[in-house]
Amino acid sequence: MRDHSTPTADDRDLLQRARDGRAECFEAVYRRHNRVVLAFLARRVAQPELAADLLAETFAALLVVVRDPARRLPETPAAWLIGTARHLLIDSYRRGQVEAAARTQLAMQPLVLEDSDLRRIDEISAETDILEELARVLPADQLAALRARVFDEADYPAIAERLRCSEAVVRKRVSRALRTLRTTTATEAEGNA
Amino acid sequence: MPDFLDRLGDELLRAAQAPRIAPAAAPITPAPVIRLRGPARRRPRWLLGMLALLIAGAAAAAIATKGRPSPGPVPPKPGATLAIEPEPAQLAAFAILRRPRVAGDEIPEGMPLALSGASGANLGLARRAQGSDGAQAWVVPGRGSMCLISAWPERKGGGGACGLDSSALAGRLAVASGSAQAPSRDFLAGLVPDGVARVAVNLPGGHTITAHVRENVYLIAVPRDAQTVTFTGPRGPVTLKDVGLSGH
Repeated sequence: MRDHSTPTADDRDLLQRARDGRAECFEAVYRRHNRVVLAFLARRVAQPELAADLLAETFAALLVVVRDPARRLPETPAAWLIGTARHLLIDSYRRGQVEAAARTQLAMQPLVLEDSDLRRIDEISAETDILEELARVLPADQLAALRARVFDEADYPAIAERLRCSEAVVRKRVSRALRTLRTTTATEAEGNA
Repeated sequence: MPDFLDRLGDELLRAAQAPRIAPAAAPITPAPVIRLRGPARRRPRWLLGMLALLIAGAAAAAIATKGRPSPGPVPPKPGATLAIEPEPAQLAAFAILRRPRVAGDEIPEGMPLALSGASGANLGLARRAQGSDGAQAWVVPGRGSMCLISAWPERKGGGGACGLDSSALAGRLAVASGSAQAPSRDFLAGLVPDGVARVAVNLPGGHTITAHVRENVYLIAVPRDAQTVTFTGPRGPVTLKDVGLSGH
């Protein structure tokens, strides 16, 4: 796989540059985060092709934001991507179909998946450390609670016992973590209001 | 061929470089994305699908129980790409799509299911085929594509896959699934065109199991080391290779 990332540049800065006309900066953000978003999705859906579908829509949604000067850019694009991927995943279960509005708006062409691509998705899912990536954008206490609740699927009393705090505190930390992941989406909505 | 992530990156770059246009001028119905392969053979992870709902939390669980809003054939919304009705080629090849849709064809609420937007599959057009042992499958027409969704409730198995019309019409749309409750068996579902009454599931050592086709669909539990499915279709002999999950 090609690597076009620009490690020294801040994600938000890259998106601002992309908004200013440097399309390759958006590609750099994509290259930097596509694996973690894909891994996040691939571990939650039954079919790798569905994970790829959701991945495409997630980044297309970010590009739609970048291309609209009236919308505020995400403060933490990595968190925004995970939050958006999660939202699209839930929505796909509700609708029975993956949202395609962003790709439609961008007139993106369909992507053909080969069997080798599906194997690659499985590999990326197995290789990528999602929590390590999320650790960069979430405080430690929120990450621990989110990890137990969302990734380990523990119930609140069990998490409270593990983290040696009350159930209410666990709920608050999970709530804050999820809110962090949603923050930029909400910000964006405000920007459009 | 470049990695699909590279191809998606190239497509995003192309979209990022495109002149900005007002939303109202944007095209309404280009194809969404991913083309699903055929023949499809996935290990459907239903339990993982259910876990995904749990992961999503109470809100998602409540949403899931509301089900999909397509109890009947639904016209596509602006921007949507769902099939409105089965396409002529699909109708010509599959009798199950030519019969009237009945209440029993509806996909049960709460089934953890999400299809790629690329298929254009309209769950409101699904027809159900019934097998033995509680097995069942739904044939779902899409836009130039067809999907096959299988369920084996007694063993908590089943899955789904979509393929191009060309694959489906050739009888190459099949789904193999496994279940922890039947670790040595695969649940095999396949879609075949009119005129195919039975298929042969070929096992190591030259053994063969015959699966009878009912309403264009065969549903059969086979040993995990099943190798091929063969049958004679309208265009001659067809062989599906590596049908068992052990081949994956």
